[in-house]
Amino acid sequence: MNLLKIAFLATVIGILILAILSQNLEPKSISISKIDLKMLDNYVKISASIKEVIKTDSITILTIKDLADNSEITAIMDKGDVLKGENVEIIGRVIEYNESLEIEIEKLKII
Amino acid sequence: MILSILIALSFGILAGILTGLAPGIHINLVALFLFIISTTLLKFTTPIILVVFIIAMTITHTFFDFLPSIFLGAPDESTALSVLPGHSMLLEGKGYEAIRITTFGSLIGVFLILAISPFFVLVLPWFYDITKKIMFFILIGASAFLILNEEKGKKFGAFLIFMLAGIIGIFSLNFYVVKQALFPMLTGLFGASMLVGSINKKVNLPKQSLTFEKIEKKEIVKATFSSIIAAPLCSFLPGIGAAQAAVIGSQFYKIKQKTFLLMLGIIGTLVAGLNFVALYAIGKPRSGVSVIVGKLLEINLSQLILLLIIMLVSGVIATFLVLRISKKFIFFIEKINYPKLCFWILVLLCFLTIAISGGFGLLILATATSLGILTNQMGIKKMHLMGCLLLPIILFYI
Repeated sequence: MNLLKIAFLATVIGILILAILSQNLEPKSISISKIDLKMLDNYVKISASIKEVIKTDSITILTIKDLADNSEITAIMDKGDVLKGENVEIIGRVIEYNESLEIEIEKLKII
Repeated sequence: MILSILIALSFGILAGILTGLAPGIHINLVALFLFIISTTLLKFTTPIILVVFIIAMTITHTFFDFLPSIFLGAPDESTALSVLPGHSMLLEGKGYEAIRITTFGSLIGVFLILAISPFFVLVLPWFYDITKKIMFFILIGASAFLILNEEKGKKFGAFLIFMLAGIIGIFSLNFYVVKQALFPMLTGLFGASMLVGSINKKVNLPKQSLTFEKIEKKEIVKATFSSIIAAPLCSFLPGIGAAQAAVIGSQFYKIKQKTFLLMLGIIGTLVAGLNFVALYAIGKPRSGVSVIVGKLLEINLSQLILLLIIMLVSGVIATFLVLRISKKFIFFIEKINYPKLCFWILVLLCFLTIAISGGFGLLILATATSLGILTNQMGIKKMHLMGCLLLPIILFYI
């Protein structure tokens, strides 16, 4: 088999494995109180309840409360239908806004 | 104050040399680290001093990052396309000349930042508002333009490579357990694939010459003009970096390989500088380091002028330094067994991938390297591999 065929096969197989793993592997669950500046730009998974929902024209801003220790953080998402009091599982990126840490939501599942 | 600025400038230049020379240590990482420790640092200094450090580091980095990309095949997103023309000059024994050209280009870039900035500040807010609404079409248009620009009989191949790179980009950038997925992805697509090629072909570098030909004035004018058109456009278009800007800019004229390298030098530095000016003009960061600058400081006009002076001073100092250091680099590279060096760099890149991105980063590195090798084997231009950034961004705008 020549290098071209090997490279093509390796690319296709690599993409398939990447597709499977990237859809199934999630970041470790973490408590909101453990999120600090060192985690900036990293992805985290949080289980929380929604304490407050503010909807603007372009985004929805949530205040979420950790289910285990009641610590709180602000999380932002594109427009979404979530309600105050719902329990959710969130995967998101730690960002910094106005000198405080927030979560930019990538995936949200109501639990 | 002046002493603090000079100290920040000196350390910024040193940091830029380090980030430029060491494959894997990116300015974004250093800026992020600086931001993390900024609470402590700001007890002793002011935000503008930290920003001076970041600006000096960024500009110096744009001069030095051509050294690993040309000599070692370890590029970042702004120098990815320099691997091709730069490496072919290296194989002709003209590595030093390639570095001189990119350095000269970067120096022109620094002066262009000063010349363009006033106009840029005035026009950008208006232009940004218009383009924001049609960004999707601009990015599709730019991608189609690059694919259709491929030579006859290779257009479908270019499309295939663009799409495969895009798919790798989509899965890699959404692979939540991998940190800094860009590192293994770009290293695999542009650097590691070339290193594997050099090991496979047992490439031995010819003796490197320290002589160089002067670039014709006509070519300098062409490169400068094309860069002035392409770079400001690309400094605020997401996913279109210095490398793609050079390809788009090179369409205005039929240009030679050396002129392309000159353009890469100009655009790399020009885009890096204009990103900070854009932060002042529209308040939106367009690069990793400008995100950190935006968090540290809300730039006003007098601070912008100071930062432009810092860019100029760092650029002039970096010019002298890069020419001196590249001679030593050549002396070192001539003495060693090149395929062996490529092998050990490949090993180093694997370790860096694990350190920066974690074990799963190796999967991205391997897949991206395979696609890079496939692109080489098909004789398709490597610029289409930039689909790894463009396709995810296009999908974001749908």
